[in-house]
Amino acid sequence: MSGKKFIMLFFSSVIGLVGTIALAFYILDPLFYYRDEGLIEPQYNADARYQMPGLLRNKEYETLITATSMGRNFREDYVDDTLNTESLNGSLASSYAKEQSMVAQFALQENEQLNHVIWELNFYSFAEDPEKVLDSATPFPTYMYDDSKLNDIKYLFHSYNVRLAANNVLANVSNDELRRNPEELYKFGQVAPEESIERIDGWLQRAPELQEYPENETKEVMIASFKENVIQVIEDNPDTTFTFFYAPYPVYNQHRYYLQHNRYLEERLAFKEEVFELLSQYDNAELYDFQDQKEITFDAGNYMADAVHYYEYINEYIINTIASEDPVTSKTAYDQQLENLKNQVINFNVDQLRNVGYVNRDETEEDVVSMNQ
Amino acid sequence: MLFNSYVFILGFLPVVVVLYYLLLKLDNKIYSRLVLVLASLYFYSFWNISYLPLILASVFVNYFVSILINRSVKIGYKKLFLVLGVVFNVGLLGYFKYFDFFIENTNQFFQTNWPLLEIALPLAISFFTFQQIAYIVDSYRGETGTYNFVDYSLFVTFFPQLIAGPIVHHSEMISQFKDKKNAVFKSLNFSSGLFIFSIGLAKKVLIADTFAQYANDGYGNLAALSVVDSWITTLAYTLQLYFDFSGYCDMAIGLALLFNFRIPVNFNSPYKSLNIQEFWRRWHITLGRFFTQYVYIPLGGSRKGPTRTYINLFLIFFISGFWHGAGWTFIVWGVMHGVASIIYRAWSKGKYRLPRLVALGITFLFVHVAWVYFRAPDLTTANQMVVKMFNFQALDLPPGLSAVLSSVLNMNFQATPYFFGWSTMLLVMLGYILVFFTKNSIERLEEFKPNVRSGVAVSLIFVASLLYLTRVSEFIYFNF
Repeated sequence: MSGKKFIMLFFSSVIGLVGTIALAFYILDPLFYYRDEGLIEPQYNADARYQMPGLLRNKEYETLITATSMGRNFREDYVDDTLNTESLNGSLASSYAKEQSMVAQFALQENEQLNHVIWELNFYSFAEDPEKVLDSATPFPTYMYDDSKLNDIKYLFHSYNVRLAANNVLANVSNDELRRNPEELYKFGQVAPEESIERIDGWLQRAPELQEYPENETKEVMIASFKENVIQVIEDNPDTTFTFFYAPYPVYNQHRYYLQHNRYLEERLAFKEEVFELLSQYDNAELYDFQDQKEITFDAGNYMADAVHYYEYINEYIINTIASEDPVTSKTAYDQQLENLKNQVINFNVDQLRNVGYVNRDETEEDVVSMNQ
Repeated sequence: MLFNSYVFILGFLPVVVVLYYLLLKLDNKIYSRLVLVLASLYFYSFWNISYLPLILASVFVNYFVSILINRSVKIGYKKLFLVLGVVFNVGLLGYFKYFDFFIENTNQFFQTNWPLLEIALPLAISFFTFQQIAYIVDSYRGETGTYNFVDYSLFVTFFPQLIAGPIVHHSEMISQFKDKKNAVFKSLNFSSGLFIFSIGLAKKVLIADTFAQYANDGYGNLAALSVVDSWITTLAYTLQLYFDFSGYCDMAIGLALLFNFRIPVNFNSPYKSLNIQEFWRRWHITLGRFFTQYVYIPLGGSRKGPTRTYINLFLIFFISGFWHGAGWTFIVWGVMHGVASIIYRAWSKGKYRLPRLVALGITFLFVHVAWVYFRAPDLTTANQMVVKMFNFQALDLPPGLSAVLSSVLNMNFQATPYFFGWSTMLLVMLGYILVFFTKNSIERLEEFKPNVRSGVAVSLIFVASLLYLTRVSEFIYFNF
């Protein structure tokens, strides 16, 4: 064979093989991106960022939740019953504002029934470049959250599909019924270690004092991201109601930031103030802020031992509040809330903590008992 | 830009290849080489454009110094310009690569508080600096011709060898650039280039990146490793490093062949070596060539008696260690190889020879343990890993195997949960079967004949590699 023929054979084989693989993955659709049920019954094995676009596109829902892990434990059944709706939880752990925004925009693009978006506002999500998405071992698949068909090749020709398709086929062959129900996906904390006030005390004492304040943790950076990723979506969708909320982080989490650098509190309060002013301009936006709710944030028993995450009943509490109480309505009332938070964070000491929330964790304790058996 | 990226394979490379061969149709072939220089600078800048002036300055200064050396009549001036040139190159490398290391250690030993530069190491600086030191030394020796600036720039920046070698010599590259026989499309060279590039890509993407996961997992969970796990971790790294580096060099060779140029072989089944000297003739061959020509021989080589030979040997490995990275782990790695080379040299004077298998085993074991220092983030981790590897008193079996053996042999074998599973062990074994019992990529290139079988096989491994260019590792978002 001549060199020229070899080159032609090489390139034609490469094109043929790439095409065959892409076609095979289009038919198998391991992330259930094009259709919810095709050749194989879905088992949702993938990382949340990869699994979510298919769920957003193919499930039926009127209410979408977009959040970090603080929203991941909203159970759709509970939300449906309480808000009298049909919901989908699109929360992505450790998500940046851009990712949450893309979840919301993709859902709004794909689902005409969607009329309510519940959106968590998290300092972590906004304290970055507005375009920032996860770029790690599980990079955010931007190409799955847009309306371009051309870049679908990135999904159709991806090594992740090999593993996912194999897992799905095996699950169907062996009648494995795990991870079939989207509502059970990505929930966490059922077997989390117990929080203790002693641990919190030591953790606070070890807080490193920052010499220089991080450049990305300023109000300006956070507001820039908020305007680009949130305000734009509100304006583009005037018929959709947007309910925003600040999750009730434990007060000792906020206090630790304050110990590291006083400016954290200052910048975050300024961010909240401006966010409220911006949202006030839109009839289709409302805001709830749970961060000064002492009965939650001063009770270590409400939280897992990572000083961040609360148990599922706090998610239920948030939904109950959204269902039954008014959002923040006036600047004066909100200023008072922010003043409360400021005083709580500055004047906090561990002696103020309770540890009684665990009585609400029946489900969790049952899980722990069953695991120990 | 990495060779193993979509932007390189599907964007940069096709554009450059097409442009190069279109420009070859012009009478003046210098334009085609100029486009390769510009493409190489774009390739370099893609990583971080702020370092483009650095490589440009390095190329300009060295070319200018070589002209000064060549035009100087008096030997004193030649020597002066050579010294200035070497000081410039070593200074550049020292400033960007070693400054922070020295400051850190000075601060630690003398309790000072000098600020660090905290600058990112410019890509490829170690490679293009060495190539140019060799060039000006050869200018001093009267061994460089009247190269024009475009050819010189291409010799330094030619993108296939720019980032990770091989360290090419001006005499072997510039003559090829000028050779009119190379200024036409040669389908056989192009086919060979596709063949070896695809093999290199597969070595990097399919093999090295797979073993990298195990090595990273192991080094990241040192405390949880059993004795066997520590061996799996380090053996996986030994495989990763070989397939990664040699794969990259294979890709470089393949890319050069696409343009009808041949760059030197850098790896020749190094783990099959029977002694440490042979290892260094098979591993990173062009680095060994550089050290031999420009450090070992100028220091006197083996011409000044055994003691001086040993010192010279030690010095080149010490420098080699430091060249690989500004850290104590690299220095220890270099010292280990220096000492081993001295021991081997002394041993080789005697008449007794070890059986081949024993010699291979000892050489591999030494190289393998030395890689622990090369890989570990610090000396403490390296020492812990080595202690773990040789703590045979803690050799516990996996629970399944322990139960079977205890039952069959009616003995009580201790069991421990293993960090790695059987599939990992089997894959590592498969990796070593590839290393020890199959032909290497260069041997395969020499035997390459374009036919349907090789065409289909190469396109298959190329597509598989393309598929695995992007991997997803599950994100453990909440792992209590």
